[in-house]
Amino acid sequence: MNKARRTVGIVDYGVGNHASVLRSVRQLGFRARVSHSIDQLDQVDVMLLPGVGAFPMAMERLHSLDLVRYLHRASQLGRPIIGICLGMQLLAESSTEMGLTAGLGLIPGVVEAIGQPRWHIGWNGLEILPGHPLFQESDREVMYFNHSYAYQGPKDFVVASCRVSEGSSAIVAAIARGSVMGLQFHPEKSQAPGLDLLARLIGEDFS
Amino acid sequence: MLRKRLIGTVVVRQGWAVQSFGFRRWLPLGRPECLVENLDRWGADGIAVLVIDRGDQGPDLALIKRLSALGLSTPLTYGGGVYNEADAGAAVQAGAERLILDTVLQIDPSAVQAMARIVGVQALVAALPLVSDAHGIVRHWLYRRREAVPISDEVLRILAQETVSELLVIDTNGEGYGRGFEETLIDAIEPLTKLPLLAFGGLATSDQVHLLLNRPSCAGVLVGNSLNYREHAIGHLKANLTDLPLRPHSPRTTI
Repeated sequence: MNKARRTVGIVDYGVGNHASVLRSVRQLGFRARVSHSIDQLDQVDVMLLPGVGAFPMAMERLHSLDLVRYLHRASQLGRPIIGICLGMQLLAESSTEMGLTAGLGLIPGVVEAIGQPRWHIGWNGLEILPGHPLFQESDREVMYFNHSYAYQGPKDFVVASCRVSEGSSAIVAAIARGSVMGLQFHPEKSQAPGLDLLARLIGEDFS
Repeated sequence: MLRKRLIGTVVVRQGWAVQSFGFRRWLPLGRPECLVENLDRWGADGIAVLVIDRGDQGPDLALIKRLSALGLSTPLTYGGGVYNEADAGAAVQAGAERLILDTVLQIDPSAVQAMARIVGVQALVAALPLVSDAHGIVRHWLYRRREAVPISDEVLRILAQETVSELLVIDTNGEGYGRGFEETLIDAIEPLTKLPLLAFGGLATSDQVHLLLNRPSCAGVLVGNSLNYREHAIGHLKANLTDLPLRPHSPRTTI
């Protein structure tokens, strides 16, 4: 398939700012639509799951729109799904934000408070782990983060990490399992390095 | 390693971007969209838009939507008229990544926690406009009442409980004059909170910015007026700050 003809579906579950993501995806030359309609999402090649806010409310919205089962089925079919920020956290099995809440469970692992410092806000460089050619070009690129909870899970699914300071514990920055990928940072707000990575992920052929 | 931030700032009054002088006098600069678009193109680490005359009208959602429609690839922080969880949710939905809270800290501190439940603590920045009097005593400047008062227990509690994720310290009297930020304000605030600090007011030169970003507590600075009079002002500032952990300057190469 011609990559530029790929259609991106931005999953609208009422949480976060879809306009920025929509605009970025279109600027990259892809066709894009924002929807929570299963019929419409069925028509797209790649689904983007953005999100800002708290985990429990986001999951509640996904359940209320019957999108949890839908995303499960899409993942089983090998359809590409890219979670951004909170959207990445939703891919995990659960989160302890405001109590324990089950996530989509598309990638094994849990989401927990970062600890000290309590927030990871600002620009930080990615450390891409070996074995992830799709992400490799973004090694050491600086991306924009804004979160207080983070993914913890098996190393097999961790693609990239970063550190608040020299010698501090690693914070997971990106995860992947087959065609399901999660970015803890905001590629759409990370200027050229973020947009380049987003273009590569959307353009990747998983078929 | 987390980088310190140079945040381009646009002050808006009566719908126009203005050059502000101590939040008391203003000169019109033009449409906020134009200034914000420049900051995005010039590679600012963040863009803050402070609408200073919202009163009880709530956030300027139309402005946020117009800015969001520009397709900014730089994080946008908005301040002005955010008083409750509905305001916070709507402002984020409209396109703001983070929100600066000022008046609500004084009139309804309990609303801050409710906002955090909707948009997350990481999206909330508390603003503390400060002045120091002739005796060097630091006070909280209340913009609406045009008076300086001791920092209230409620505000101190918000800072201690960390129901916001950063504290924006504003040098009210220095704002707009380019004479540098009064560091005694930061000295007074540092013992009161562990929150990362942002500083705004009076910053124009790289030396002034350096003094603040060199402090471990200071995660970033907001620079306003001085950025609007020179093409690629962000790059010029960063060129003189290479010893600080800042993100490499990366202006947009295509429009």
